[in-house]
Amino acid sequence: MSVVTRSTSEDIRLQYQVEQFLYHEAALLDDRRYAEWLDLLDPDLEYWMPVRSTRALGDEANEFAKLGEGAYFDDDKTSMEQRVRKLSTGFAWAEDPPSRTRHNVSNVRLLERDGGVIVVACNFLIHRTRMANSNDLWSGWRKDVLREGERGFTIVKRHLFLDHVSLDSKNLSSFF
Amino acid sequence: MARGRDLPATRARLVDVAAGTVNRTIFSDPNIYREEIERIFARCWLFLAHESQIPNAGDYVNVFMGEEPVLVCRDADGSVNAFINSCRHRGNKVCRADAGNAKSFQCPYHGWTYNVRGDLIGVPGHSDLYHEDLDRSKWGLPRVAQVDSYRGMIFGTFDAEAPSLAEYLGDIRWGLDLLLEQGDLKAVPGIARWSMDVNWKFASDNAIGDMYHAFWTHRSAILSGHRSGNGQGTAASLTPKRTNGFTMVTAYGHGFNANFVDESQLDPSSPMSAWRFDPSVRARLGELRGRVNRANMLIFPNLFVNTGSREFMLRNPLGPAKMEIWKTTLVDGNASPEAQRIAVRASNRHFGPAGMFEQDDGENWDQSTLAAQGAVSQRYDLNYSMSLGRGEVVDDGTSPPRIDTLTNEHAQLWMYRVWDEFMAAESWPQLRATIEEPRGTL
Repeated sequence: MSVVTRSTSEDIRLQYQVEQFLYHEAALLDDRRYAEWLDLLDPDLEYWMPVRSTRALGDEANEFAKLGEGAYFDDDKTSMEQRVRKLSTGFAWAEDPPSRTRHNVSNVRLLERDGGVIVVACNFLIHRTRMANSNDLWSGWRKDVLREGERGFTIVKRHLFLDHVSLDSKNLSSFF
Repeated sequence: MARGRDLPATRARLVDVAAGTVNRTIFSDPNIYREEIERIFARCWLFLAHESQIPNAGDYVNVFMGEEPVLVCRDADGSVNAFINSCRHRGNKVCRADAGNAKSFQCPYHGWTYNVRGDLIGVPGHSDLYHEDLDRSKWGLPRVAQVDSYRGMIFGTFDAEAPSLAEYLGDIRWGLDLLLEQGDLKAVPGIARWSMDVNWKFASDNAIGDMYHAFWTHRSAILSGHRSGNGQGTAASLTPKRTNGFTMVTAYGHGFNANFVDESQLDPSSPMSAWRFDPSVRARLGELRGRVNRANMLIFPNLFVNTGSREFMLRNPLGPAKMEIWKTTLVDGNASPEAQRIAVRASNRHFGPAGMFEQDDGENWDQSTLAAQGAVSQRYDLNYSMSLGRGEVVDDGTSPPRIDTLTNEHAQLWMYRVWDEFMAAESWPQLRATIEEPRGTL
C-alpha cells in the first residue's frame, strides 16, 4: 500500500481503527496512565530513537545513527517497564513534580499490511512544560509496527526520528 | 582564597579552600564567565575527538573548543589538523556539516577555499580583484596551537605556551587507562547532543567526585531495577559508602572517584566484564585498578569520562548559564558484534538525556544554576566541606597519590582550587610555576 487513490471500505475502516488507537495511546500518555500504556506495548517491543547529525548534501544517508549506534532510546519491553517503575519510586526527580505533556499525532499513513502486522507512519509534535518556566517542543516522525490481536493492537516496533540534531532539553523524561 | 596572591576584587574569596566553600557568583557572573573562556578554555588542553572518528584522509569532525567552532581533519599523511572553522574574510563557517569527508572547505559567502590543513588555497578574483596583492599564505584558518593525542583521545590547546599533553594529563593517565585498557576502543557512530540551562562547572564538579549524589539523585533508577551496564548486578548502592574505593586528584584539576567491584554482584558473562578476566589486562592495570568497578572522572575543565559504561561526555560552555553535552560511547572493536551491541545498548539506556541515570542529573544541575542567580542568594556560599581536613593523601608507590575514601568532597574542592589557580595566573609559565600537586591532607 503506497499512495492509496481508490480506497475500499476495508481500507477506510482500518485507517480509522489505527488512528483511534494512536489517539487513545497519546491520551494515555498525556493523562499519565502509564500502566495502561504499558499494556499496549508488545512483549517483543523494539523502542528506538537514534541520534542525528547535520550532513552535507549527498551524505544524508549518514544523518541518523543506525540501530546499534548512538541513540536516545534503545529499549525493549523490560526496560520500558523499568522506566515506568522509576516514576513511582518517590525519587524520580526529573518527573516529580510531573511534567505536563501534549502528544499530537498526525499525518497517519498505513504503509504496509501483512497478515496481522501493520506498518504505520505518522508525525508527532510533543509539547512539554515543567514547573512554571520550562518548555520543550519535540517534533519528528515515527514508524510503528502494530500487531493485531484479539484485544486490539499492540506496538511491536516504534522507531522515532526527531527533527532535531541537538535537543534544547535538560532531559527526555517523557515517553514518545 | 587565603594564598596571598593579588586577585581581581571581583573574584577575591570566591573559592575558600580552608573553609570548603564556593561563592555562587562563579556560576552566574558574565564577567567571570568571560574570564573563564580566556583563562581556562583558551588555555587548557581540550578534548576534540577520538581517532576512530576520523580514520581516513579527508575525514573531519566539526567540534567546539569552549565556544569556538573547530574543524578536526585527517590529512593524507595521517596527521590530524585542527583549526577554527571561521573564514578569514568575513568569518563564516567554511564547513557546516557535523562530520564527513572533504578534499577542501569552501566558504558559502564569497568562495574562499581552504584545504584540510586549513591553508587558504583559493580566492575568487585573486588576479582581477585583488591584483594578487593578497598573500594567501598569511590568511589560512587560525590553527589550534597544539594538537596531540593520548591512546586515541585527540586533544588540542589554543595556547602555544601550554605544556605538552603528557605533562598536562600527568598522573590522570593512570586513571584514564582504566578505560583505555578495556579493549581496542572505538567511538560508536552517533553523538548524543543536548543543552540545558546549566553552568558548566556544576557538571564538572559532579564528574570529578560526587559519589554522594548517586544514592539520592539516581535512587529511582536503582529502585526500578535498572542496571548500569558494566557487568554489575545493581546500578549503585542505596546508601553512600565512605570507604570501599578511593579518590584521586592530580595537578591541573583532573581527578576521579573509583568504587571497588562487589564480586558477589559481578556478572562474568557480561561482555562489559570481559577485561576483568584478561590476565594481560590485569597485569598491566595491577592489583588496585583491577579491583575498580567503575570510575567517574574529570579531565579538566569539561570532559567527563565514565569507565563503567564507557563514555566520553564533553560539556561545552555556551554562556554562564548554558551548556551543551556531547556524549560519545566507546566499544571494544575486537569484541563480537553481539557483545558490542550489548555495550552500546547499556550506554544508551544509562546516559544521555533519556538515560535512566542522566535524566535526573539535568534536572538537578538546572536547579543549582537557577539558584546561583539571585543577588541575595549569592551572599550564601555553597558547602563543599565534606570530610574537609581528613583526606590523607597516600603516596605508597602503588598508584599516583590518592585518598583512600570513596565518598567525600575533596576532588570537587580540588577542582575549584585549581579553577582559581587558572583564573589567577597570567600565563602558562606562571601557572606551571605555582600549580600544586596533592600532598599532605586535603
